[in-house]
Amino acid sequence: MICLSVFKRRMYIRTVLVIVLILFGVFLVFIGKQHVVVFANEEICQDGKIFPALTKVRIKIGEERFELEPGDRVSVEVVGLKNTFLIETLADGVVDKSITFPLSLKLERMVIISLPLVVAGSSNVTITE
Amino acid sequence: MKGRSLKGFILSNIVPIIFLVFAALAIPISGLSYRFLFQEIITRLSRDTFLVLALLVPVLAGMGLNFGMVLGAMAGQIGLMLAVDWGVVGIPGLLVAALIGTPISVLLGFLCGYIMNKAKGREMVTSYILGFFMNGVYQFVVLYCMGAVFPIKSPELLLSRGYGVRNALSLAGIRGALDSLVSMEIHGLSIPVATFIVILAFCLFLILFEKTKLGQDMRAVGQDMVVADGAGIPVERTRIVAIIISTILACYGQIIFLQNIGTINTYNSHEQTGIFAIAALLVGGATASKANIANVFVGVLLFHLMFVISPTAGKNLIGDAQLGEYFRVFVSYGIIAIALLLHALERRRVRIARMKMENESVV
Repeated sequence: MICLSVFKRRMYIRTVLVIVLILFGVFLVFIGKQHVVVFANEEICQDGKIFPALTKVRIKIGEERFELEPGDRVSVEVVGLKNTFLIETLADGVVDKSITFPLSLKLERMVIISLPLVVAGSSNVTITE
Repeated sequence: MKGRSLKGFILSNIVPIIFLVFAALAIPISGLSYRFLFQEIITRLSRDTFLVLALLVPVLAGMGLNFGMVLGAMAGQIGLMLAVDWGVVGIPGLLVAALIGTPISVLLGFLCGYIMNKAKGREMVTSYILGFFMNGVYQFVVLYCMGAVFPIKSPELLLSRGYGVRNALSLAGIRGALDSLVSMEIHGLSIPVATFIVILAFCLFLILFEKTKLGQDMRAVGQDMVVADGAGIPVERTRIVAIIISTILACYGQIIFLQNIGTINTYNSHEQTGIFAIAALLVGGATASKANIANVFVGVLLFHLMFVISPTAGKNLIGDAQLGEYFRVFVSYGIIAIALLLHALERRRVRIARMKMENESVV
């Protein structure tokens, strides 16, 4: 009886340990997952409404910054579930509008973000191709 | 007395002394700058030491040099492949690879230990051949099952036919993840502090492990299995545990090694792991029955110093870098052969002495 309880306790501890390790692994996959975020400055139609490409737009993430003309695309590699981008529309070289764009990702390898939709404040800014 | 002790010291450290003398002669001939040599040695110490440390536990348990550590290396590589496939980068990528590699290592280590128990006294050759056998299984899994049986989606990994892993994989997202986690520069030398902290923590673990009951059991089993069995130590279980620990550590060692290199040679990276680690340990003055942490550091330093200086020294001396490399290979692997021969002779001597004692006691 004593042996059984020791065996049971050992099995419980081992099972819990395995579960904790699996959960830790899942957590690591989420926080360490690398995603490719593509920003597209292209004309887009959503719900029957046309959103034209922006004249000039600048994207900042960390130390990196990119400037896009109409029709341009740029890809950025990011790590983790949540990332924040600073998107600035430019008019005559001066910042016209500045938007902090938080992007929540799951396990997708790549997402395409439409910049005209972001600037217009749309709730669905991803493009599927 | 003093002369005798000096002679004893020289004889017991003859291998590292030969390498030291060779290095002292070859360094000026090679013409390499000391800064370059120091940087290379630091890099190689951080890259290879963990793998060599993985050999200490089986030596403690009297199982000789664990050529079966390639099994752990394979497990580490499979972990890294899956981490790359899932797109997990940086330190989480290394940890995911380690988490995947651990159960595979435990399974392979158990298998290796079980077979070694069936071949007591011939552990080294058994583990060596087992490494070849498992290499076949690994190639089958990686070349045919990955993508077909196990879901692998990344086109960076898969062959164009849709299953099987490419010959070389880039670890761009994982490269230097541990080395650059905490690093510092001293006099222009880049030192991967985090990697050395991991290595030192592991050294501490080994020192403490030897003092635990399991560590003491392993020591007892290593000294005499019959006596240990008589004392109530589960000999076979202890030996299996020693091999499992070594295999797991080899898995982690291979992950650390590959994060430093930055690429996986899918079908070859693990093959030389055991030979290089064992050669380094023996060059450090260890034998198949006695090894310690100091042997590991001295061995890695001297063995890899040879890698750096031999081609250049050979080129400057004879005009052909390849001849220097041949000489290094000849000396390095000759050392392994001599060390294994000495080990076999020592075992034979002990066996004969024991038989004589038994005969005398019967008479």
